[in-house]
Amino acid sequence: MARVAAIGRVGGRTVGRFGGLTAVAAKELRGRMRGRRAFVTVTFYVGVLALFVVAVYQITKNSAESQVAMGGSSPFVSAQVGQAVFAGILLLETLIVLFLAPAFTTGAISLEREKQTLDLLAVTPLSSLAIVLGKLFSALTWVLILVFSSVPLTAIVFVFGGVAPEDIARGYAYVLALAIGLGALGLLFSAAARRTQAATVLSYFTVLLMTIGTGVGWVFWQALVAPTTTQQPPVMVKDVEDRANGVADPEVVIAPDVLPASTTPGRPPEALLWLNPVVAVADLVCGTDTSPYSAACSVVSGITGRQPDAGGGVPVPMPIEVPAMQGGAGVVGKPGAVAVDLNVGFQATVTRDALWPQGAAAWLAVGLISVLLSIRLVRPGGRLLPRLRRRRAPPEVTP
Amino acid sequence: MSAIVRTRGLVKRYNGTLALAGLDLEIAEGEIFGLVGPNGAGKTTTLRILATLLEPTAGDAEIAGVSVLRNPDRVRRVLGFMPDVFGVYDDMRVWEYLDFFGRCYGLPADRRRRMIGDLLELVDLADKRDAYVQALSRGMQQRLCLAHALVHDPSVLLLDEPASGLDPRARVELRELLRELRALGKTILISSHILPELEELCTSLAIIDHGRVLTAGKMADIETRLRAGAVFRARVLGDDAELEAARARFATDPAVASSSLREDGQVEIGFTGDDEGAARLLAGAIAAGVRIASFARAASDLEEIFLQVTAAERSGSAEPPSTNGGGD
Repeated sequence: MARVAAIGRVGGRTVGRFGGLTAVAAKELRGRMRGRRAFVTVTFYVGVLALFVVAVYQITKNSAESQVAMGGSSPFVSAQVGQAVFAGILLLETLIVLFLAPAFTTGAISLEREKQTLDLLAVTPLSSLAIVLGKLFSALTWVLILVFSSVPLTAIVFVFGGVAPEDIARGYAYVLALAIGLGALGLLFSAAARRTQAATVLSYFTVLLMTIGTGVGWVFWQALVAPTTTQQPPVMVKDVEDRANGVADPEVVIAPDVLPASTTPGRPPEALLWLNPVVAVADLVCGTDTSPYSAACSVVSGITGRQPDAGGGVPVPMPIEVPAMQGGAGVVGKPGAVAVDLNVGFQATVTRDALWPQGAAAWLAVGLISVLLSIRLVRPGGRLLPRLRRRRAPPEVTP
Repeated sequence: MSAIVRTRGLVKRYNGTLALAGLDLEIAEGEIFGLVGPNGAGKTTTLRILATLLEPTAGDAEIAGVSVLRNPDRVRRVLGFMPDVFGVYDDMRVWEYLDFFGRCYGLPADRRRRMIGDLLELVDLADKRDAYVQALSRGMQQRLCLAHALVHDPSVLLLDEPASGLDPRARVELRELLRELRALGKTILISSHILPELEELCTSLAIIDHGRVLTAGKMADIETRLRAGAVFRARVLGDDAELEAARARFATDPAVASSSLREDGQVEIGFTGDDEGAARLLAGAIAAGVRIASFARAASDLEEIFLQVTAAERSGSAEPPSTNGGGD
């Protein structure tokens, strides 16, 4: 209680827990925004992004023109161009965040240690929370300036249609969550590792793990849990017959759930991919797609095992022919089929946003945990886990 | 005068090595207190505990009656700290640097403006207001670091090796600055491993080694208390035989604990008597026909004291060292 009462009072003025946040953030941003560097960077970034949009437009325009020539409906084709541009910008922005958010925070604490300035901060009444949040806030401000400077460019998609403002809001919401999570994670590595170099390596290793590692892991896991239906049926049939005849090989013990397992295969938990930004982007892009069999949507349905509903965003006349096989319960017992088909039955109307909200929530959770752990580490003599003999005897009256 | 800084039985252990072994210090208000000891004696550890950067393994420390353990936040507000090695932020101007630390202490904008002007004037950096911090010379950075420790007008200043790496001129400037600060009523605790650095500056002194206070007190007290073990050097004219005869003549005095011939031809005398005794020793030698060109206490008395005290500690006895020859 004495602690609480003692927090920040200089000449009767209270600093409190958040008081120094602006001090740290202002200092950091002052350094970062000084001179022309920041403006040149933003200009360069928007320029590159614009070139990228033009490239995507050119590529999709060519295929769109040929579609129109073959009798495709032109609003539909226009929507496709809009969706492609949206997908491109979203992917690029996700990549920017993946690379920049850790880059701006991995030095935040470790550089202070290396330059021996952390002690200067530690003897001020500045709280660890203020240091951590101030650093994170200033780093994210810079990343978000880059991200949001692309908003006008993103608005180009409205010219083509096919993407609703809500879709764009969803996209930016996810990118924001990703930036917070990754930025805070970089900060945690920075506080935990003594050297910036180590923090950087750890951060980018994590980025690789999240983007590629979880994807590969998911595929392997799926291969392990999905039974090899092409091999099993003959064995099982023979074995079941043998059992019926009472001549079953005692060595071969067949669990009773083997048979159902061959028809309802296991599936790796979706949670494995929650932190995967590529999957989240696929989900976001799928939300705008007119065809449930687009590349983005098949990624999503492959993971969730559910069919997405066709088309989000702006209603577009859709001359889509429903493929014959979609009606079917005939999927069951079809060996060697692709993952999508292995699910028992279709849920005809499935909501979209199947994966990215979890992804955003997961990154926000990562961010929160990272901030909390960083606060522990920034304290003088801080460590991740509390020491066992940490509690001192209760304060006694000084003689 | 009441003690404004007090440590009681400070113990600090780093993974098995004992940095502080029950350190007791009392520093009265308004003093410039020197903390002297060889490298690894525990000076920096003591200062970092006082600065709330380090938790002692045992014991407690108080600044202005507030425990650094129980109430670090309040201690930080009355405390200015300048570490031995410190960095400066890149990409910051001198005034921004002080402004930043002013914000850290929650000073309102108008007070910060005034404080920056005053402090830059005090540390003589007023004309460097808009310079980048990393462009300052080492001595200027040192002064800026001192200024940063003063933004919140603390009553106690902890300076860890403030003069290390400074050229003689910067040292003199630093000394003047510390005197000014003392005149402003601040209590200053300075650590150093070079005693003469503190000799002219400090009002009180503690010599520490192996994490323990070997001797402490007012500067004058320490000098008189330990001057009994002073070392004199005499430059005697003549050849080797005459030198040896002179040395033997000095050795006959009961107050001479040791005598030896130095490489440079001087006779070194470990003397335990007082000033009267020293006068008698000199008069006797001259009367005996020894040709003495100079006779003086060894250059830095405190340095000698320091070496004696720490060496005695190291050899495990409290006796003054080296009663046999061997000089230095």
